[in-house]
Amino acid sequence: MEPMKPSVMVDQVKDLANVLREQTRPFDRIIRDTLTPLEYRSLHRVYTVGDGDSFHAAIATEMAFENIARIPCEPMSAMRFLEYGADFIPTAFPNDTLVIGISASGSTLRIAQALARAEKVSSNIITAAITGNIEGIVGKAAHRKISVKLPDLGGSPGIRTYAASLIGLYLLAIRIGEIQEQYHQTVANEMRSELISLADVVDATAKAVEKPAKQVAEAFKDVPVMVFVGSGPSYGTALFSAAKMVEAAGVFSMGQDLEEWAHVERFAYPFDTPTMIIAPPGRGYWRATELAKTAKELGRRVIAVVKEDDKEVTQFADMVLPVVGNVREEFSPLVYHVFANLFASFVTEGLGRMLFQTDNPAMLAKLAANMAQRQVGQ
Amino acid sequence: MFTKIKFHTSSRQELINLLDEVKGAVSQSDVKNGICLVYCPHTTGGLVVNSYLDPKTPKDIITEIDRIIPTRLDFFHTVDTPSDAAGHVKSSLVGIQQLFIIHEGELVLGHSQGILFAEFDGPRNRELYIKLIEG
Repeated sequence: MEPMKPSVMVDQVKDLANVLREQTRPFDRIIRDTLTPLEYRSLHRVYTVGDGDSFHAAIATEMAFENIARIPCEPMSAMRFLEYGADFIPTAFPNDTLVIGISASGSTLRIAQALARAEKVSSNIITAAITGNIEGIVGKAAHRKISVKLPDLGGSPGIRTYAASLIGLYLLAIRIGEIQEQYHQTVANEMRSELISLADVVDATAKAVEKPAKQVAEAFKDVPVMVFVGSGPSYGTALFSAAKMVEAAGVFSMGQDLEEWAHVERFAYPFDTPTMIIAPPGRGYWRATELAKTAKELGRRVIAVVKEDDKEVTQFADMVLPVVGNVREEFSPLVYHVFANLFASFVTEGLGRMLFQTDNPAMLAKLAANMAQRQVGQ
Repeated sequence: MFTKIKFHTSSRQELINLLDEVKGAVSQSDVKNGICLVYCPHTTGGLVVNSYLDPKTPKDIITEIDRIIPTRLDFFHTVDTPSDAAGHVKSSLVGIQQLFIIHEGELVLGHSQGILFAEFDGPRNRELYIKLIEG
């Protein structure tokens, strides 16, 4: 295993639109037959279970399940589901609960354990794996397997795989709503096409945000901590964005729910902590505007991740990372995370570091050992 | 002469009377005596000729067709939706084309007969093809 260069993240971003254009239809074809119509119709609730990026994807897509499919959805980290969730599922009827284990690698032990626990709790529960490797332990632990495998571009913090998980979860939400007759199949097909059309938005955003992301990276690469905040689906984006900064640059970063930030982190030093406010048009936008003002008044350096023609949040921002194009709030995580990958890559480069701390021989050896163990486990 | 009628259905299942639209196509043509073919290019729609004077008659027809082929969850065609699968079967039974006589520039029909488009999986954008043949 070699030290990982920050530029691989840029390569990943450049391929994001291709993932949307080329993989959405094949993923959809799998999802249509993952459950029978009777099973899809029987569902009353969904649990989405993941760790790391997969947990962030679960949070980012909760609104899609609830507002598009109109089905209650509970995102959980794998450990929480395993010991504090599975045993308390209020199942009452056959096939009324779907537990989705999300794992890009397919080798996340805790998620495999979570799915196995769900299976033991009740025969009413259907388990499914959304994974890039259905032969891995997560796929083997699930009743149904949804492959979101992508052509390999080499090692990197999960970027394309995160998008693949999001797409799989969105398509699943669309399918549940379609079979449960929340809308007609023509509407469902329009939403599927809408996902594919976001490829253009991703491409345009990647181009537009590159230069400002470099500027923000240059300005803030030496700070001890960064904060990313968002509400609803953007909370998932905030968590993902902070994770990329940690994985790539090793700069301590945290993702936080917008409102929780107001209750807790706004009291933290240093008072000029860079605070990335992820605020797509949508339900939480009004509060993002209020808290951007608050953050600015407290001396935070506010970076707005907003639509390019935004006025409200932008008026309180020191810098803006624009998103070019329209996206409904439910699907916004597919587009609003683009900046974070470039930003993290540029900070890493600016600090002269390697991704995942692979410029540290001890970490490199540890990661290589983990990788070998995963391959044996498969 | 060939023409298309485009329209939008508004319910999951319904019969829509398109008699005036078909008559209009005939009257705008030069065909005085011949045949009018009305063709439905959809696989979850059909064409029915029946009474439209009492709106409850089309309602009876669509209700009884649905009673014969209800939307079930165990159709083999699962890639779309159960109502789509049922719609395919209904369309197959009802048929997708009707022939009419054109005499002295007029469509010849019984006084209560309408040309009813049967929507079996709406709402959707739909169209009918009309071919007029002199002879």
